[in-house]
Amino acid sequence: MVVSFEEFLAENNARLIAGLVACYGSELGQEAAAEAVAYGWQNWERLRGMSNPAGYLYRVGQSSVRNRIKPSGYLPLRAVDGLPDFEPGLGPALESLTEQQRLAVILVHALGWSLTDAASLLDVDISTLRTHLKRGLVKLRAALKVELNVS
Amino acid sequence: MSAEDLQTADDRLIESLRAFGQSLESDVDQSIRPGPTTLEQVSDRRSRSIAWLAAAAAVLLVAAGFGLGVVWPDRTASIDSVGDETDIEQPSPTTIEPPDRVTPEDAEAELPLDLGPSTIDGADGSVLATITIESLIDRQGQTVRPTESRSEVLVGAVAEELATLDAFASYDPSSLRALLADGGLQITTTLDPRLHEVAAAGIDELYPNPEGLRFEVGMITVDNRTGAIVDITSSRPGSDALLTSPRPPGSAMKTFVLAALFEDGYRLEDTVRADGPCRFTTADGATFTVGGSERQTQSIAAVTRSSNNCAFVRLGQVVGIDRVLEVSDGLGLDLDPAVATPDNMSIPLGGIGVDATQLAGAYAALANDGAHIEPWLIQSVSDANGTELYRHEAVPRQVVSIDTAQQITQVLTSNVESGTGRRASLEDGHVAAGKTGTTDGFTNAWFVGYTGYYTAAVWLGSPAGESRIRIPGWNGFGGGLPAAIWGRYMNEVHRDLDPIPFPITDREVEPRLLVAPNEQS
Repeated sequence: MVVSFEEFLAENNARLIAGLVACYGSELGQEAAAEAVAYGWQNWERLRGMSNPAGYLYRVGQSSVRNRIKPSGYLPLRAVDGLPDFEPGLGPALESLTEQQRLAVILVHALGWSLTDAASLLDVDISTLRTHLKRGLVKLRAALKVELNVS
Repeated sequence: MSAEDLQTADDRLIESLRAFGQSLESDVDQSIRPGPTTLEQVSDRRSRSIAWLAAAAAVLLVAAGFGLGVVWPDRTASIDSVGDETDIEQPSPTTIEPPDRVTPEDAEAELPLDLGPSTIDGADGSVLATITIESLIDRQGQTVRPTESRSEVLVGAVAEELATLDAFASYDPSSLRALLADGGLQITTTLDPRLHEVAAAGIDELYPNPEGLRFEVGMITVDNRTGAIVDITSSRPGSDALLTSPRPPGSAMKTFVLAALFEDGYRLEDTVRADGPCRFTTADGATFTVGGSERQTQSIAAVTRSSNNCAFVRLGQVVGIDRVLEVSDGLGLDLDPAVATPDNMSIPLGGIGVDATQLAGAYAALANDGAHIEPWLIQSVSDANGTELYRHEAVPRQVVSIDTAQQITQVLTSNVESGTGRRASLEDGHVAAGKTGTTDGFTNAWFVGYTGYYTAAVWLGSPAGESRIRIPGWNGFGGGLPAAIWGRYMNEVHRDLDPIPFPITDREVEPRLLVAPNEQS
């Protein structure tokens, strides 16, 4: 049972940031998370009674940046030096997915979250999440023209 | 595409997504794993939130009670689960001091003379496991050992090594039985219980192995200078999955390509194409293709840091797979001859099964300036009267040149500083060298690395080796959880040790461009 906002934050801060970063890129996503946390702190007495306060704050973060102009190319477009390579077209391809599909794919496949964690943050059923994942991958595969390359 | 092809295509896509996730994580200046954040991180985040709020105050600060003067609960206690009592004593480079032996009187007092249990002791004399004659004899020669506790894992490991010792070659099961029954044996191992405590606490903190997760972490630690196995730890105390079957090391195999290259006179400054996909003509005229992305030609050191597959397949062809296999053999890897063939171009990518102990032993040889000592566990065996029946002597063999070992160390050090092994970096002036490994489909993830003192191989995977690694909050790469566990462990182990720097040589050489002879345009 979550008793204090601090404890709630210790448990949920990282997932809140990850969700918003997956949605809006690292800069805007982190700002959104900061706003959501501030809101949560102010309204904790009301939020603590909710069944999924993290999901609620996630939506608070979303609406805080929705009105702003979303820059294009906000996801990292190239591999960071020293990290494994990824397809150069992956960033733009991800941006072509619907928001729900993109979130599902990034949280589960890119960041390695469990289905339960991702579904809880996005406040959707696991089966819905699976559908987003499946459709997201189909679109990505088509966008990147992924073929077998071991012959 | 068939269903199987589709799966492979999805695997590649997911592999790329995970790499993308790593880049995304590195963009965000704090952990974005779903697990609990440490209080320090929250506190740090809070101060940044407040700083941001200050900038946007006009818009945000609508609630009267909220302002920068608000007092947050100030709990910034550091979270550090292992105590400070981890002063690790180093055995001297050449000799291992025998622990105090039990006197015959002690033995008599503690062990019933008729059917006495034998003991497996740590290097500090503590009893790690008590074994019965049946458990020891039954386990000899067995390859699959269902186990229930850590002590059984140790019994298995000891029994396996005991069976290989000349001193006991003349003992058939019935005379061994008689020996054991007569008050029992005292088998003193090289295992250091203090290291085990640190290892277990570290694994437990980063990967508590909750029920329902199919994966486990196994770690084996070798003392560089003696080759002694000083610790074996698993996230499931009774599992010996790490010890019992060879597992593909993925890119941790690339180190052996480096060894072959440097042995043959190539240097870490030499360059190779790093772009992909790349295609090669195989011995039987087929095409072998490896995926990749647009990259510039880079030095051998740089392609190691990014663990670039195309570059290493090229390098394997430059030096020759036969040479890679020869050097691997010298460094103690016992590879399946059916797979380890000179025509197998994928050897540098590490799809071949490797024994974790041998892998740790090979890396320890690199830490040891190229002198290999076969990893060993049994220090001495005495009977109940204290008569020593066996004492181990480590025999080092120079298997690669000092220069080769030092060049590899230099490359693998930079890999921990700024490459795929960054999560393994150490504090307080200690230096680490290591390589990550991740196999196709994310079934095995590794970090194998060394300091001036110890070498440890960390493996993450499922015991059956078939399941895709899926752990909440971690990607499936060796640079993820395995490297983090390695770094956490080594930091604790080295806390009170003096840093041993690795030699770094600056050379004025003209880099050569190495070209694979059979690459298709």
